[in-house]
Amino acid sequence: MPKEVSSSQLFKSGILDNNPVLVQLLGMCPTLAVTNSVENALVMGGAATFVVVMSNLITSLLRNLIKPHVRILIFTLTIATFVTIADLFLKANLYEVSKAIGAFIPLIIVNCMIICRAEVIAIKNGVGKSLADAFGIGIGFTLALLILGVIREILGSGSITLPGSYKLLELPAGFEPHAWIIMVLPPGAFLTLGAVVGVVNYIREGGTKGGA
Amino acid sequence: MTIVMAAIILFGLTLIFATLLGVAKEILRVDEDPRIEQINEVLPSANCGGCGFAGCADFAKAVVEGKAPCDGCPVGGAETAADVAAILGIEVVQTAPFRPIVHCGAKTQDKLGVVPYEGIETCVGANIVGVTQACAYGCLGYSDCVRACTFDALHMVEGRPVVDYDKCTGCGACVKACPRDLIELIPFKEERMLVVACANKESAKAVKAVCKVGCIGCKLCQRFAPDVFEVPGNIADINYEKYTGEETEEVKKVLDKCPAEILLYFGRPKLKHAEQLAAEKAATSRN
Repeated sequence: MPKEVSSSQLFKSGILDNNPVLVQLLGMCPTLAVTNSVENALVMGGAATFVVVMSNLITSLLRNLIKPHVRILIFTLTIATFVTIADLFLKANLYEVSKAIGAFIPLIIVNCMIICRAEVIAIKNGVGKSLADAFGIGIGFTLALLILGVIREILGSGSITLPGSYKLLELPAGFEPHAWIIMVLPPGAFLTLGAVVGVVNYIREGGTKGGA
Repeated sequence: MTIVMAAIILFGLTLIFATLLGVAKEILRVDEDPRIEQINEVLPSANCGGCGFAGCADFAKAVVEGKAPCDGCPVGGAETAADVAAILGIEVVQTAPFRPIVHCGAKTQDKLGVVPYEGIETCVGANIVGVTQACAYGCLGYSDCVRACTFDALHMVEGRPVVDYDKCTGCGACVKACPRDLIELIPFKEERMLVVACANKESAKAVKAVCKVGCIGCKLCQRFAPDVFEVPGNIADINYEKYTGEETEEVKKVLDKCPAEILLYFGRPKLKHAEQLAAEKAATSRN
């Protein structure tokens, strides 16, 4: 990455050119595990965004104090703290979703996407740029999860249910979700991710950027 | 100097984060039903899974949610059931504790057609081979049930499993371990219960060919004590819903007349049975 990039460039690159899921293929564990519904994908994306923003914020604030040898220790400490807070928050306020995506919230701690942002951006740049980058990455991650979630839920269950059991979209009655049940099961995650990454690569190679 | 600085920064950060987490935990506190914790405390904490749940904590949660009965813990028995019921504010009907009995009483020397078996020394393995002994129903004697027991309540004595009812908690692990389904949990209404220690469903001739003590299905017991015994096929069966564990005149007569040696008492001998036991011992030593 060139040295002088503006905040807005960082923000945009997190969503498009450097999308953590669809381009960098980071954070595969939550991507594959919790995208079987739009609701789960949204909550997972939100939690990861919160953690990456807070971790980038703290890291860039402390960037002059952190000794290079112990930086990984401090990254991990920071990330773990905010993941724990996110987990507590979900348990207190979104109990059903928290039960559904269970262990994958604590697993954000070991999501390389987040530690990568601290290492690549936050430790070298000011608060403004770090935050822009964090929001870009967070939104990029959430969007990617949302794309997978929409495809999998609509095919696997024939409708999209938003929080509060409000049906956003329903396929016509002739559609048989049972035949597509594999889409909400683990293999569906691999199939969908493969297809979406394929489409993204096709667009990128074709030179038309920002199509995903 | 770098080390000291690094240590100070790390220590300071840890302190700040710990405070932050403490505050977050207070703000985002989730109040659990206090009864779950209370019930968890009166449970035996053996985490044996005998209730069908992953452990005692899981069972406690299920009880509070109404998904498990308050007397669902086989290990704790009536005492625990009463404690749990008290916490929930309901009454528990006293039930007899369920304990395992073995439907094969053949000792090593009673089994016929035993051939040397050099495979993996487990009942499951020997059961697949199928020809280690002539009886296709009886105990194989390779101690799968003994290994399954986490309470050290099962031991192999003379080629058959014997339950130590002082240690047994009735968790049912041995029942699942037996590949021939010889172990059954029955309600111990008395300290010791009469058991048909045979599972061979073949006719009298076939049983005689494979075992010295097996049930031949003569139906004598059914004739003398029809309330307690049933002989639906070639094997006697005790109706544990009707059988109270009491030794009535009829049962005594059956014990006297039974031509096979398969009606055995399982359980702890009580004082009132001690005399009888002494007599039994005297009888066997005479033989």
